[in-house]
Amino acid sequence: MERKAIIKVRDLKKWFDLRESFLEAIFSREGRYLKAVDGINFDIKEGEIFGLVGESGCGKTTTGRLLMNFIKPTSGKVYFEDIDLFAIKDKVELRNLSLKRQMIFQDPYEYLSPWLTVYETLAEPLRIHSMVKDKDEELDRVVEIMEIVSLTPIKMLLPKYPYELSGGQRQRVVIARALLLNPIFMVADEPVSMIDVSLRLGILNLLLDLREKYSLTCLFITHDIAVARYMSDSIGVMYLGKIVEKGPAEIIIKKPLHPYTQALISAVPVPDPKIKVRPPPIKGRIPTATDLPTGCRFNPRCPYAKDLCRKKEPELLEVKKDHAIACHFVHEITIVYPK
Amino acid sequence: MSRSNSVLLDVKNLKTHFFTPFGVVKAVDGVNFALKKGISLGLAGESGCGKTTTALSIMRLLPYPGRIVDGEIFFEGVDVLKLSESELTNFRWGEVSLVFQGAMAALNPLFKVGSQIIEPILFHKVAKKYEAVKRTRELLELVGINASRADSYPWELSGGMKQRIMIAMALACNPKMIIADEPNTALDVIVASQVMRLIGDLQKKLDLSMLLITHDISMIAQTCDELSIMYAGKIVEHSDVITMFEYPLHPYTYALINAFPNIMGQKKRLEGISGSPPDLIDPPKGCRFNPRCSYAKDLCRREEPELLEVEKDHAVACHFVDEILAKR
Amino acid sequence: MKLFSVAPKSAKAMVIIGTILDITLIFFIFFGPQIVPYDPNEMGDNPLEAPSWEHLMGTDDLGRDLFSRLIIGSKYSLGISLIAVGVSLFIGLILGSISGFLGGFLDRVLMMLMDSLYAFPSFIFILIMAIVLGPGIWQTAFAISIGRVPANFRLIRSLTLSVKERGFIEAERGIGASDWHIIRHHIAPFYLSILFVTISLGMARGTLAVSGLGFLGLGIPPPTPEWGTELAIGRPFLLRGAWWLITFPGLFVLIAMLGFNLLSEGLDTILNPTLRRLK
Repeated sequence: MERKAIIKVRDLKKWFDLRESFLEAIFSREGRYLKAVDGINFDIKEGEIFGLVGESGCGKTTTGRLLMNFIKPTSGKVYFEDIDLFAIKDKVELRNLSLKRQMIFQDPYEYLSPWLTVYETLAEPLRIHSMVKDKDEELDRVVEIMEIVSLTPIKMLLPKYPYELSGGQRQRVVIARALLLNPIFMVADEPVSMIDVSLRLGILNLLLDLREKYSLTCLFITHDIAVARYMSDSIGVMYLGKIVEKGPAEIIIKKPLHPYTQALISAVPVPDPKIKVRPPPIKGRIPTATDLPTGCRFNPRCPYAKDLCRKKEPELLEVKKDHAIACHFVHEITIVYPK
Repeated sequence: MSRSNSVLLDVKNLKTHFFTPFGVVKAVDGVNFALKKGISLGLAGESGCGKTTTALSIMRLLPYPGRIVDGEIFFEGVDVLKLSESELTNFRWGEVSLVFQGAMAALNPLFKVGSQIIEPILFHKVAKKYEAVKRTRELLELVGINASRADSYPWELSGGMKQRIMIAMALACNPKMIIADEPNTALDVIVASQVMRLIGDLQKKLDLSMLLITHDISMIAQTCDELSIMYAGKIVEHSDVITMFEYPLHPYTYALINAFPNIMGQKKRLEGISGSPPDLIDPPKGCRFNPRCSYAKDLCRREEPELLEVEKDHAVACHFVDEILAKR
Repeated sequence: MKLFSVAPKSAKAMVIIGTILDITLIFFIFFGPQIVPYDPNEMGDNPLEAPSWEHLMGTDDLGRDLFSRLIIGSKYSLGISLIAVGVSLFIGLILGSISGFLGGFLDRVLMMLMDSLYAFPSFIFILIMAIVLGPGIWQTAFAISIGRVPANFRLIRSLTLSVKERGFIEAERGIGASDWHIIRHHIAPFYLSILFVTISLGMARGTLAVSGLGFLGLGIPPPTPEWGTELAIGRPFLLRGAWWLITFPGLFVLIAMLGFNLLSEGLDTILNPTLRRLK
């Protein structure tokens, strides 16, 4: 009954070295680091959509790129189907594993080659990996994938260049291309934030359908917690490089425990003028990840902060089944967010 | 919620077109609305529907190759389109000011923010040197920034603070009306909600009229009194926010409201809006929304519906309003 | 073609005028011998004759028709420039793309080399090479080619670097494309897009370089009627009043420069902003 975890992230860290000059590298003892991701743990089960939510600078995009092997971690491990991703030396094996993991990005225009038509863009992966025998089979496959992602009318769109498509269409091309490689895992990094409002649901629903049909496992990265709720089975909330709360989506949304999660949720405007949302009672802004607060990273802004919070960093601990939070005083926090 | 306030801004049949080498982009093509004193109106629609162009037309700040080709704009009874250049300099900022989209980039990085706020005050002769400095400090406090920050440079401030500075600048000359264009662009969720709260509070406190332009109708639900929905350069529905959200009549309004995942209530599957945003050089014939409308009939493809008041203070531009109501 | 029709009038004018001038000159290169009124080497009886209906641009001190000489001269002034542009572009392309794409140690070495060469004003560098190599057709072509390599290298390299960072390159890697595939199919088209402009501009500068060397006596030696060489030869006769011997060679150089510069600028205006607008 328990589905297995396709992705297992263990104490993953990515620190970017900011030391600029040679001299600084020799002389500064500590080194200046941008601790983009600073020790995160989570699992994603087969067929699950895990929503990684956070504001800018929290490290969610970096996490996505680490999982895709676009960048190397400073420390920690990522297991993909129980294989340690960063320990693989064999180039061929690495390549095969890379194909099983695909990514869709925020700006579909930027991620499509301006030189290729829709047809050529979709045919390219087929050709590179010799996945089809001849031109007929190639066309069949392209048409097939366009139907799957509802990129229609097919005949009209085949010869078009990216600049002739709408944002939604471009993103569908990106998704179609990723699907052609039969991935089992997808990272979607803010896939709809640059797309027109009326087209967003189309893309979101498409991803949900694909998950249904192909049992696709997905890491969905977004700053919009409402979208995260719509898409995800589980949600992880990130703040300054760490996960502060993690659990089933509905629980996180309805009964958030961590003060930051509560703040995020209470900040979301709702489309109902009769319910007036109060902005969260937290002050200040997100500090830069080079100059982290001591102790719990959220303490300068937390309305409940006490002495212990300034001294010791809380660990991410499970307080209820599958619901983990990183806070010293979890039991003392009342739920501020109105139902 | 209709107060018998006097009308501050009256826009009648405004048409603003852009004459590009690719064709004439009919960005605003017959827009009517009225903004009363002390009321905030949200103008919602997707990108490219003409909302920003409307704002720029009101301020007469249209970039080349845009031109107002038809219609009238009256501000307190004065014909804005007939103002001379010198009268316009008083009008802009003195009567109506604008918080631009992505305004944070509008701050000059070479000057301290205090001097940037003082500039319009001095230019519009609202106050002289000493008074102006005092007023700047007052404005900063009004927007929730410590007055000592007047000596900071823009790059020393966060996105949220810069946006507050922009708001302070917009208020510098005691305008009667503010236009805010996507004020939350590039702001984090929490900061954005604080800024919106600030804008809402200031609007009520200073009894300003406000035109809030955004694609996020939830923001309008939270901050504004009235709501107008724009599509393809035209207004398709208008009423007060409560009516709009409870009884949306136009199919696009309904679809737009339901296009945003909600954190409240039950989790359910939402339906998107089919089709693509319209081409403004060659918009669809008849009702511009017809290619994407699930209720579209023949008449919709031939004849453009007018914006008509169907009940008190609730106007819709749709041929089949009654049918839609019945189906729902 | 769509790009051309929506371009501003000034750009269109530039491209049209430039193209007309250039085509005329290129026509001279290939069909010069057929159309010249006189044999450029034929010495006549009326030396230093001012321009007249018989000799449109006058004659030189040996009675040769200047007009015919200059038309034939275009084969050298322009032809060598073309060769030089081609060679330097080719070298710059190979080195620039490898350097930009691979980066690392190789890139740093090449950059240092090219930067140190680039620090010389290119004409001085060409001059020095020409002095070392001596006058002659191939020597001149070689000197100018090498002289232009650093500039082309930098251009291609920076273009490669900026494209390399773009999202779709990463997406290509994501679908498993090899480096070579990426360069060939996704980066190379960018090179093509700057090709025309780079070539026209190169021709303008190259022609000036050839003529410059010729004028200084370091380029193509007489009696080859290269424009700069003709200018050099004609100069002493100015004192005798033979103004046409320097005016017309100079005019040809001017027209060549104008033609290529106009073409490249017009093309640049048309191709670039519109590409951006198409977004």
